[in-house]
Amino acid sequence: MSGGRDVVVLGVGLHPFGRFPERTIDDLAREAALAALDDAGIAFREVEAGFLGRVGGSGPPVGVGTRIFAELGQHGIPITNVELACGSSSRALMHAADMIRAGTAETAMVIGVEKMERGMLQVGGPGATNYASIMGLNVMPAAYAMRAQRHMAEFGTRPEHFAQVSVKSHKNAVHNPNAQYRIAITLDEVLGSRMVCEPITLYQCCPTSDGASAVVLASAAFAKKHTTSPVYLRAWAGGSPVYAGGHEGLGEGPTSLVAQRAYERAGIGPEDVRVTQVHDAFTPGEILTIEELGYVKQGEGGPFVWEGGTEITGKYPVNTDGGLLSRGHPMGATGGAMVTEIVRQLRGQAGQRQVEHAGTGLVQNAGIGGVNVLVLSR
Amino acid sequence: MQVPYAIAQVELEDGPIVAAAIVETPLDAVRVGLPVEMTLHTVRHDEDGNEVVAHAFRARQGAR
Repeated sequence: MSGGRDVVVLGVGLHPFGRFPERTIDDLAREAALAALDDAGIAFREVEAGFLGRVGGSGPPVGVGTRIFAELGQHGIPITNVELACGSSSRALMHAADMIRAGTAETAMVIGVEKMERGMLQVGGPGATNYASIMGLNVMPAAYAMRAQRHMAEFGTRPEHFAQVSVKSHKNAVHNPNAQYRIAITLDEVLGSRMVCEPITLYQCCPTSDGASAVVLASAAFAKKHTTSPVYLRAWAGGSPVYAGGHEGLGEGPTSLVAQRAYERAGIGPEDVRVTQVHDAFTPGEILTIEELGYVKQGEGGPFVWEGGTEITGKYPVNTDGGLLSRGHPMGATGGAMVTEIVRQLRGQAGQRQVEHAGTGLVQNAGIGGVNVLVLSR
Repeated sequence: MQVPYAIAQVELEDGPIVAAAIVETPLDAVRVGLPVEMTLHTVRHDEDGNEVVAHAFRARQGAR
């Protein structure tokens, strides 16, 4: 980034992802936040700004951030609610980072939290009466499936290429104690599970989840007092779709455009990224996104995944914690969880999920057309 | 819509692309590049028994 101060990710924390019917969003958020403060080695009274990433659903609809942060203490800091569908907490992180870069705050905390119902997400809301909902067009897996179909027609990508994404992600999640599904599954099980939207079968869809993430950001000067091996948030960029008469790209939102900005701001290229988190709400997400990030040429994503290119031992390890598919996807918490995994990888704290020589990591988080890309490095 | 059903991005002759359901067409005939034409699809009947219709697309007759 040109100008401004360096931003450090000082602490990260999660509440495990899964189903916790007996716990409120306050419970989930508090546990993640306390873990992040502990990881940062600071007290909540040292936090100078708070951001909450949350989409909504069960629980109160307005002013939730102020209530959630009050679980930790009240010392008068500004608290902001940020909603960008599944990209809420990564967008919140960008606003928090902007404050630190500008010198408005020395520290800031982003909490992402969600509790979700079982069943398919209704984009227009349940019982919506608009044309798209009546005609069955507002179906998230169908949006990914149409892109996958086009990818298959244009480049020869095969259904098993997409299914392999889920096999790989489940394998990684076995080693993630915070993941919703810690079970390995076979290619046959993925391909043989119930068809949802061709070519996407049930085990190629992320679950709905309860969970929370928290991230503490700090200026480099502040961080120096608490760590000798900081992980920096080097660059961040966000965007929304560019109107092209309906001729959108294959991904969910303008990832290639946003990634280019992030690379430029970080002064790196895709070849410098060693570990990545992408928005794999459905398996085509990984294949289409690694192309948009420039890791492989367009059309080569399927074979690259099939041959192990995104495995922990591959050239571009992707979703080392299981991704949305297996770690789970409590919408508002996902961006922060992605950053949490990258930070643990860059610190060498990822245990059996550890990628060797992880010096630079990237997060791509999408939410109904909005896209955020963040670059982190030691 | 009753499952299973097909939806698609339909490219119109003068350029724009619209998302729509593909009806009156065998599901296994739906593929990328299939020529289609607009048709009206009955969504429901109103309280007076009138048909409520919406636009949809079907395989262009005589073109497979």
